[in-house]
Amino acid sequence: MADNKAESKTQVFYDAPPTRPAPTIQTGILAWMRDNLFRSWSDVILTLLSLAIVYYAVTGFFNWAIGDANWWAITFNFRQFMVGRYETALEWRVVVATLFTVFTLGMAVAMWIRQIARLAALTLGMLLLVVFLLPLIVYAAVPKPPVYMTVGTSFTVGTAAQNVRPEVAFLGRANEEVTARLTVIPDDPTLAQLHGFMEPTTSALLNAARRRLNDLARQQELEDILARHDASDVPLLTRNQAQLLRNELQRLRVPDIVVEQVKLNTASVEVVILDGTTLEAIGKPVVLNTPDDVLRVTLPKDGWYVIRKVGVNAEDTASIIQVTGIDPIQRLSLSQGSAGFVNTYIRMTDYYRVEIPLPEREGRPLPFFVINEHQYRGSHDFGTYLRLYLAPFLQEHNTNLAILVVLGVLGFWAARLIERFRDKRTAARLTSILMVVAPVLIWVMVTGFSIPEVLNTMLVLGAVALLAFINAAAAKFGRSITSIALLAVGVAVTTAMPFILFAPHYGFGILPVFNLIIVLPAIAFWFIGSDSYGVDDAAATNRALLLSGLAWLALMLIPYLLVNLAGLDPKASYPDWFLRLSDQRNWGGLLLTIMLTIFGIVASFPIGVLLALGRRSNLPAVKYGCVAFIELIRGSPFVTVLFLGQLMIPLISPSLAEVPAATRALVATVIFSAAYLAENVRGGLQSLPYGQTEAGRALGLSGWQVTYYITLPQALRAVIPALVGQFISLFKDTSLVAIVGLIDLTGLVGVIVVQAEFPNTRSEGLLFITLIYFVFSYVMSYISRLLEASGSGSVRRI
Amino acid sequence: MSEQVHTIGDPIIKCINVNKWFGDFHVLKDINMEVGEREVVVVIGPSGSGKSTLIRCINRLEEHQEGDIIVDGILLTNDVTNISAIRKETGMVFQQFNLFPHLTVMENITLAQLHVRRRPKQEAEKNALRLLERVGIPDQAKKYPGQLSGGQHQRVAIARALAMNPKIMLFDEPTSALDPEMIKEVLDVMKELARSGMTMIVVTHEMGFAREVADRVIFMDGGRIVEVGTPEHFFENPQHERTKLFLSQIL
Repeated sequence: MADNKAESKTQVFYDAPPTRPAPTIQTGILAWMRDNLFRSWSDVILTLLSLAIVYYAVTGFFNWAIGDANWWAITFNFRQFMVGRYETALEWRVVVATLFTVFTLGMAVAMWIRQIARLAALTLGMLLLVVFLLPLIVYAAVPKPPVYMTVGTSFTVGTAAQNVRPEVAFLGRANEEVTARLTVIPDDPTLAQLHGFMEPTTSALLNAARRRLNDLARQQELEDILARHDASDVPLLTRNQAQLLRNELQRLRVPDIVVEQVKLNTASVEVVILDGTTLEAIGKPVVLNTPDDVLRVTLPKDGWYVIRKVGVNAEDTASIIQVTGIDPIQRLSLSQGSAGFVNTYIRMTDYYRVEIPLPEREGRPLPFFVINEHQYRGSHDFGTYLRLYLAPFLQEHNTNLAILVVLGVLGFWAARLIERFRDKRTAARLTSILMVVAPVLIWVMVTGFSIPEVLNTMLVLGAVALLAFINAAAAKFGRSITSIALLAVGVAVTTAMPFILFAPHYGFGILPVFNLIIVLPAIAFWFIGSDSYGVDDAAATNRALLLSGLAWLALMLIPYLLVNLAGLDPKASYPDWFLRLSDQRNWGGLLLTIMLTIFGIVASFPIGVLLALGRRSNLPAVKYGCVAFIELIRGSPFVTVLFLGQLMIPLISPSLAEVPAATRALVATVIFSAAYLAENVRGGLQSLPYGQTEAGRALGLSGWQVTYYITLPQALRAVIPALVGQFISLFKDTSLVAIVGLIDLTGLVGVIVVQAEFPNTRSEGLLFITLIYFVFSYVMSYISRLLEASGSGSVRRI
Repeated sequence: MSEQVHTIGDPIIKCINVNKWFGDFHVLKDINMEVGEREVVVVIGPSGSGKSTLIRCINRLEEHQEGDIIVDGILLTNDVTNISAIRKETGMVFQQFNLFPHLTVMENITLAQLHVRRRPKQEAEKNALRLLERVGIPDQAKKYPGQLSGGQHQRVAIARALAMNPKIMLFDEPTSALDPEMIKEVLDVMKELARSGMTMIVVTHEMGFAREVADRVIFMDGGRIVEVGTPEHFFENPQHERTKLFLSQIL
């Protein structure tokens, strides 16, 4: 080697130096912080400032959400938030539709956005783990907060005499332990600090103590100010101010010390637990003299119990006992028609529910530990928050969540398996079919399907078949008398059939005009078909003509025969029928929001695309019709369109007044969304180079084919972000239907605040629906980002 | 000069007194021209002389206002049936390629076969593969246009036009948007096509191609056909002053 080196003309002096790890400051969290947070003085100031703002906002918010919010307003109304007042008997149909949709979504993830599968699995797995484990951990680790009850015959706090209930009913379960002991409350500050559930009388004592402490503090404050004013050489106050403060000080009558006034915990207390049905004592009564005396009872079975607590020699005294094992109850009254009301009692800490009647004494039901009287006083700590609200909520719903996740996973694997054992095309096609079927299924399942709708559906399908028939006829016969005659006859029959069926039952109204709309697409399809006159394969044309003709005839004739020969009543809704109609007035909550969103999207998409194409049409009538529609709608606020749908549609025809409000709101949503969608799609179409159209035409494709195969797919792909953005805002805009009296997610917040049990819970409701809106919107926008980044759209380069 | 291996047949394209205006601007003035079957005609001229407009009129991408254009025995009118019949027989290759970016190379070539020629899918795909082989890129079928080079783009565009089995091919400056290295691969394909007896009208600035392949060269200026001749005569012995000026500037 040495020789070679000496001989060769180039010499190498350079050995590769060993690589060293980068200095700590160059990598990792420190480098990131230096680069992003503390690059310059202004950055440092901005960082600290924003941290301070975030800290300030977040801590205040969490203090409220954990310490003071009453989340039972949400958990108790959860069903309303999900489906509103949807008929309980029909609820299985919503479940079926949901499960089907989730399955389909699982398949779609497998087919088109597999890159999120890992992330989704991880997220959902973690979620399930938390949802199942957290309640167990919390139940084991965090005791339920105690209940404070008052004992005494009657006593007076301030001027208000309090009547103490000696017996209070509560729900217990077998093997639960109830304990009661005297509290140690030496002075008023201790009393004011008490927190937990309380009887109203205990609450009154606590209020009295707090009031007294407040008054004391004010008195002290006033005295301090006046003393400083008097001591100062320069007067600190004007004479008027000083006089006002003196007057206030004089008026201020600090009440007596509460614990002394009611001789708190001076008398002995006798406590016993009674069985709720027989009112017999379980175990012996226990007399509590000192805080060390404890009543400890293990409950033998599930059901009602009564705690009986009386004072021994307790004239004008009060004692506060701390009881564990008793939880607040919510009463749910459900009307059972002529049978009257059925009361269900739900223990809110674990959703244990019974329908057993309340214990009675001397024919009158005993008071029970009900949540609206026994509010939690004071702020919850984090453990109490988990134990009272989060853990029971998760435990109640984790199974349902797990079922949804499992179904989504099943859909994912179904698609993967089809792909492995057949091929990707089959799997993709099946998924597409299911995605088309899903909205139809959702609509049919949620609304039901009555006889008039069966007939209507057949007629609508018949109209579609007619279009295919006219297309084939024009392709076969060209622009001849024969094809024009077929066009005329087809349109006449298709227009007339609804009247023949429905007019005797519903009357006419303005509907003939609506039905005549079929003329427009029919003529369009006649033109399209005649383009391929003599061009297409004759055998294929004949086959299409025959099939579509037969389908059209069948779909026109079968309803006619059903009504006129089989005696079907086209107006009946057949309540015992398999999928009887649900009353749309009962729709509410997430169900209504989702229905408006899904069908707003599904219906406005084709309309918007057609409007966009129409706006670019060369035919003035089509073009300016579309322009007028789009600009008119875009020029008016959504709220006015909604009101038009609710108030003015019935003016068009009285028969339209029967259309339920939810459907009319849906129509308004579709109209509004279609106009905006049209402009988005038009933007996409305009962004394409004209060469694309020319290339298509030069290949001999017709105008429709160029649109369908070349320009529209590219235009839609180009505007996916805008479209998804629009769908997200449509999802959120549905909240405006609350204004026209529909009770969607947003409308429900107004409903729960007027419930007597949950006063002042608007914030909780708003926060909850914000969470729901956010989850849906975020998932939609995340998926749209993936769609943009995937597929051939990303490698577009011309 | 290369030897012409094909014989020129009866006229397949006839333009008789064709006039066209864009608004008030008179683009084509009294164009009279015939192109025979299997003939290769190269149209040259300064920009704005109406070369592209002329060949775009032949497959009705532009509409002429006066005169007659007869393609393959069909008179071009507003009749949709006639237009689509002519477009089926006329392939066109654009300066900007105009491949469909959302479709794979294979789908680009089969789209019109399936929906205009109504060929079964298998046949269309076999045809597409054969043509991709002919233009020298059989291994690119599954790619999207965005993944191809400019020269490959144009070769796919030629294959796409050929897939319709046209009688006539129109080339509208097919190499103008290409890097110099890629021009040759496209011209090679076009030369091969010319030798196989395709009727071609080529608008181009590639004089070498015109000399080698053209049966006739047409020189246009200001919307008029100034001079027509065989390449030998045209390039060696131009008659008109304008032609001489043009050639002196570019050669």
